[in-house]
Amino acid sequence: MDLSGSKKRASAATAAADLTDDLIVEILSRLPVKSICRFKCVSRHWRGLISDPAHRKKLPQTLSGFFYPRYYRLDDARKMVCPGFWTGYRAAGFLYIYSGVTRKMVGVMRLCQSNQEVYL
Amino acid sequence: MEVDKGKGEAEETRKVAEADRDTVTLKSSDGKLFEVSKEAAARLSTVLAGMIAGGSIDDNGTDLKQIGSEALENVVDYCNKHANSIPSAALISSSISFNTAPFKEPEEWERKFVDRLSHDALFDLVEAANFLGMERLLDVTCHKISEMMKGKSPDQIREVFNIKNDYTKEELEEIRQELAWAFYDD
Repeated sequence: MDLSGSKKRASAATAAADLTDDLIVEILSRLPVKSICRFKCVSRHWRGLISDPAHRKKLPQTLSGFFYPRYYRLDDARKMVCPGFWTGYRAAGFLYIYSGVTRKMVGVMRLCQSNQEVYL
Repeated sequence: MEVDKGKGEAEETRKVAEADRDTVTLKSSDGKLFEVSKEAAARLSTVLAGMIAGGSIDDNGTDLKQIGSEALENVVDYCNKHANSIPSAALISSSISFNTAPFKEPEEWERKFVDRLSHDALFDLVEAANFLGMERLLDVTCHKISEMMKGKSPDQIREVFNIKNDYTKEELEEIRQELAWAFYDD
C-alpha cells in the first residue's frame, strides 16, 4: 500500500504531538488566562506560542503588554509607582491607575481576594 | 420494478444515478470507504463543499490522504448526526451563522459525541476537522480539549500532549515565580 503523503504516526507518539501550532493556539484560546499563563511552563515552544504577538488577538491576555509584568505588594502603601509608566493609588478596594506620561487616569482595577498583592 | 437490464444500459443508469445521488464517498488514508450525505458534507465542510461544487468528487471514493479511517468515520458520523439533529427549515440560517456567531455551547448530542472519544481519537478528529474546514466540529472538539486542560498542571499537560520538558530546573523555577499567581487553585 502506498502511504506517501498520507498520515503516519510513530507508534510511541500520541496524536496530540501531531497538532499544528495553529490548532494548539485555537485550543488555548478557549482557556482562561490563568491556565494559559500556567502553561507557559509546559515547554519553550508553548511559551513562545503564548507570548507571540501574532497570537495576542486570539489569546486572552493579562495586562502585561501595558504594565511591566511582576508582582506588586501593596502592603500598607497607598501608592505604587512604576517610574515612567504609571502610578497607582489604592482606595476602598480599588486601584486607580494614572499614566506616568499624561498624568491622566487610565484605568481602575478592582482588588479582589487578596488585597495585599496584585499581579499586573 | 426493473430487474432485468442489458449490461450497457445498467451502466448508463448507474452513471446518471451517481451524478445526482445524494451521498458522496470519501476514502481514508488507509483506503477505507465512507458514505456521507452530500447535503450535510457541503453544509458542514468548506473543503468538501468546494470539491462538490468543483466536481472533484470521485464516485469511487474521494481520496482524503490526510485523514485516517478512525477520524474519517467520526467525521462522517458527525455529519450524519448533524443532518438528523437540525430541522431542515433551520439549515440555511444555521450554516450562515457558523462563520460569524461567537461560539455556541455544544449541544447535548455534540457533547456526547466527543465525550466517548479517546484522547488520540479526539486529537485526530481536531486535525481532520481543521483539514476539512469544518468550523463547528473544530469548535466542539477544541472546546472539549480545553475543558480537559482546565485546572491541569504543566506536568499533566505535558503527559496528555506528549511534550518533553525542555526547560532547565532553574528556568522553570524562575518562570514559576514570575507566574506564581497562575498557580493558585482555580
